[in-house]
Amino acid sequence: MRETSEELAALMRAGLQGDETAYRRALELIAQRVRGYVAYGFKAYGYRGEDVEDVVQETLLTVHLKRQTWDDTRPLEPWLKAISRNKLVDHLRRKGYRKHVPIDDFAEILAAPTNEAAEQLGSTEDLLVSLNQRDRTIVEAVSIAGHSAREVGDRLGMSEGAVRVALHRALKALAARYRGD
Amino acid sequence: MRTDDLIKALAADGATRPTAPERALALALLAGVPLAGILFALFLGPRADIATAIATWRFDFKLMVTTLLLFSAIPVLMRLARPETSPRTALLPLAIAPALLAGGVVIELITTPAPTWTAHTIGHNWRACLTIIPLLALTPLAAVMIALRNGAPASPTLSGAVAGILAGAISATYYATLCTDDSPLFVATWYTIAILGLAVVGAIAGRTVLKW
Repeated sequence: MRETSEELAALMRAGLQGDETAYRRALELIAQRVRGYVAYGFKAYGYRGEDVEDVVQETLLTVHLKRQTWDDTRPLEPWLKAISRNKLVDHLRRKGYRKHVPIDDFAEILAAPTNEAAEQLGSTEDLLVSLNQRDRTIVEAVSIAGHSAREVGDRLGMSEGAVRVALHRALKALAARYRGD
Repeated sequence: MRTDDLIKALAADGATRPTAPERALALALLAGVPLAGILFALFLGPRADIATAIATWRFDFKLMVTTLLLFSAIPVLMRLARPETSPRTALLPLAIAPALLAGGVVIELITTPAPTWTAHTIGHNWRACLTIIPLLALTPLAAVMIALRNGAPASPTLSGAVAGILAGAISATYYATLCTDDSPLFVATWYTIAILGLAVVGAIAGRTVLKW
């Protein structure tokens, strides 16, 4: 079942208020939509790469780090499309793809058939290697292993707060690596 | 890494609500505007005859133009900090202050004899104008740029340029209380050059600093 725009916006709003479960669900739904935008964008640009999931992951990172730029009194999709388009264009430029096709018209896109691609690997994996060992451990523990910040802190002998700070820095560093900074 | 795993990491980092772009910009202005004012008061200060100058329309008019530019640039920049804003329409309010200034220029041309126009345009302080406005704008420009890094502007270059205009308007407002050249002809020439220069600096900086 596909949640409507209103339901997604409500989840995102709750997530922004600190509801972690709602936020996670919102990100899952956002990932589905972004996957649709990116696949459509690849096609519109005539780009045949199979790296859709790389752009999806970079977009998700940006959505997260720039979530404050969504005006929560407005619909989420235009904002999401703007971020997706930006990341898509960046990605294609990095790939040396220069053909100019304006895709202002992201409007009428269906989301890609849902979850199968969430199993795919994206290049976040390769970028993780560039983090320092501790940050990498933290990111992998909360993501792949699914531990909470507190559990990770207990294991590494760090406070929960310190884990959260390190996680946030690591995610920002990942986003910067995507940009090639 | 699977996308689902990445989402887990992002959700784990979602507990705090980051600062909204409007708030970040407001904070930057609350710091940058007084700071530039303190620097101005310490090293320059207003002209000695400011009490009588205030009674002349030309002095009040130039202050009106710079403050109007300042206050019209703030909401423009706040809008530009969001990724879905279309820059073209967002920029429109920036035309208000120049339009007002153009009106002032017309009045000046009508009310003063043609042989004095050149002298009014060149004035006495254009070197000071072109030095002080850019220098005094540096602190507000830095503050505003830092605040904008929190946003996600659709066009980093354009947002940088508007940041330069905003910083220039702040600095020009202070400078206007010092400068004894009050003719709209002077303001339209030299203030414009100084502020456009800042727009270029902001645009160049924005290209890299505001990329997200």
